[in-house]
Amino acid sequence: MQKPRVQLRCPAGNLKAVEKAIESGADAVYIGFESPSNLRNYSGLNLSIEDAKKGAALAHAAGREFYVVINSYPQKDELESSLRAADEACEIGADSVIVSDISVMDYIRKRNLDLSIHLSVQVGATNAQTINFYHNEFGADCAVLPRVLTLAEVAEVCAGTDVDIEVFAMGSLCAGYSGRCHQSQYITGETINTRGVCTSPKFIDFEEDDAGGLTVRLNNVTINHFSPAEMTPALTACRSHSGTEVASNQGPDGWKNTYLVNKRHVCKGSFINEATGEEGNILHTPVILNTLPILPQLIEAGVAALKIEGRQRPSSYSEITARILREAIDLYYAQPQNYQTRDEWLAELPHLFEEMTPCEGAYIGR
Amino acid sequence: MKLSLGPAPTTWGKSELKKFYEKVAQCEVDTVFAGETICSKRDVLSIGDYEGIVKILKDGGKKVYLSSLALVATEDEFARIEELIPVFDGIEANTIGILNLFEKNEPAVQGKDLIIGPYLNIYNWKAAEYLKKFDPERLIAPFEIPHESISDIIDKANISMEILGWGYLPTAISWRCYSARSVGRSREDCNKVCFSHPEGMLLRTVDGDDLFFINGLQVLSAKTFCLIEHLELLDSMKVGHLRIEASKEHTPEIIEIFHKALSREIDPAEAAKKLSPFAAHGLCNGWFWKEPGWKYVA
Repeated sequence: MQKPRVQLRCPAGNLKAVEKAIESGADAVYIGFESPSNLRNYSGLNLSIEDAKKGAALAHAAGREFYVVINSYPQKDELESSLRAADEACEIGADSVIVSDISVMDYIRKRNLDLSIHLSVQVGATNAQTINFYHNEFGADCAVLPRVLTLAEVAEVCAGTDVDIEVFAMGSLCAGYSGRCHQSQYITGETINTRGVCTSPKFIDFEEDDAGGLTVRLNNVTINHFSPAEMTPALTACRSHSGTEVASNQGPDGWKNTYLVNKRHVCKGSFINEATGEEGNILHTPVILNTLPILPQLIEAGVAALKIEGRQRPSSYSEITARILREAIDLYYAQPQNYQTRDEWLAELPHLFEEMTPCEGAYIGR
Repeated sequence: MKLSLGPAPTTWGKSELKKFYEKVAQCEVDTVFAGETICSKRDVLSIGDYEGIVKILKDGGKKVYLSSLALVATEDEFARIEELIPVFDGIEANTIGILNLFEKNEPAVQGKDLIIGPYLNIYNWKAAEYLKKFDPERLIAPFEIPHESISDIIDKANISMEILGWGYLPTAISWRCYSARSVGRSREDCNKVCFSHPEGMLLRTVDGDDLFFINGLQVLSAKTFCLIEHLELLDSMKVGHLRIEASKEHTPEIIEIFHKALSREIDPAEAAKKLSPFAAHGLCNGWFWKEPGWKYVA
């Protein structure tokens, strides 16, 4: 039997982004509710129940699918809201939920909610046995792989399970194994896994130095220092708002959100390695994942879906990335042997990703 | 409340590990966890080596469990875990696929205890309760959840729990090797750089504050998590086991101090004072109190 064409699954942080992603050729759009039930719980992002219902209707009218992300790990105080999010996902007509916690999966099955379960990247499902566990226990029918595996390992996982495998094709690239990174919690005390915010904007402070550089502190711990030569336009904009309590560009967290959309989290901080004396991005560099050059290999590894990261980004991002990936996937299926990355696709990336360097992540080696 | 010894978090090499467990066999811990949890390339012990270590520890009256890798990415890594389980009394499962072996009652796990490991992210009582169908001996709390969440799991899921009492905190695991990266190498071509840094590589902020340790694929806290001053609370929470993380130096002394504090031979403040020289970059326990991890609450 011929394997179905790979699906394109796109992020949306608001209703407009849902619309744009669908217009640009997404096979499915995924969103989060405005609550700590998902790992992008930033102010000004995510959809109200009402907008989510409209988004689901838009997707279904276009023959596409609509997913709700419920991927935090709730503790006792958040348990009820995560379970309620599952009910709400069902009520708005979502096809699937992208879940991490066993309690939520168990609830969906015990309540017979008409939702298929996808394993979130936060599950950390890096091997077929783990994926098969969730399939056997909860009927999970798709697993989003963490961005930690090589192409050969992705192929091995695909071969070891009947569950559909989804991989990240484009977007931000964490250094950490998802769901097991607590660096910002170590500094701020706010749990990423439960409250859904990495390097929470409310703990960030900017300080402009006399030379025109920028020091960034997270809960009074210095996590970055940019010399004047390192300042990008986005960082310059942050610098110009240093010392202001509230800025107006993106909701209550203003320029702090701009800083974070640049993926300047703890792991991309500047540190000093005592053993080597090196100073800089010791843990991770601000790079973005771009798999356009290896799209054929990813598809041929046996994956069922390609995912674009970035619910935290604007609707124009959802529109453009969906269009580029749509064209690339269609080009591959039209001429698998002659697939080549187009220059015009790559030309759009610097603007989308604040000039960060694209790379193929762990897929091509670590 | 009993004491357990967690697996070695960093890389010490075969002969050091053997010498270490010979000493541990004489220490006042009920359970010893051994095995490589971070990177399969660092698992330097053969099955015969593990058998020897398990025998020494069992002769010392300990329960001995295998701690599994947290990030299992290949069939070979999974097969290695399956191969090692029969050597031990049971397994601390840090990848949930291991539970399939218990579900199917595979030969490797017949008669073996299942311990739910800290990397399985069991954050609430409903998740813990679900896993009781696999009849776990106990559940090790994720290091990053506070005491009120731990209590809620113990009370509502009615499950025995082990929590960290002493050791560096795992703050991240990565897709690449931080140690290799620090000398310009890739994970695939790491040349086992981490073996040259058995205590990890210290990372400071640009202001000079000690913050993290690089440990292969893992980032650890620079400060040492310590709950010695809160044993009464732990008792009232009905914590079953208190885990001391293995450290290359001073583990017997650290265990002895915890043992004396638990048996009320020394008071908690005195015990904390005795322990502080073993925490080169200071003590912390903020996560237990829902605070920044680096903070210490006495």
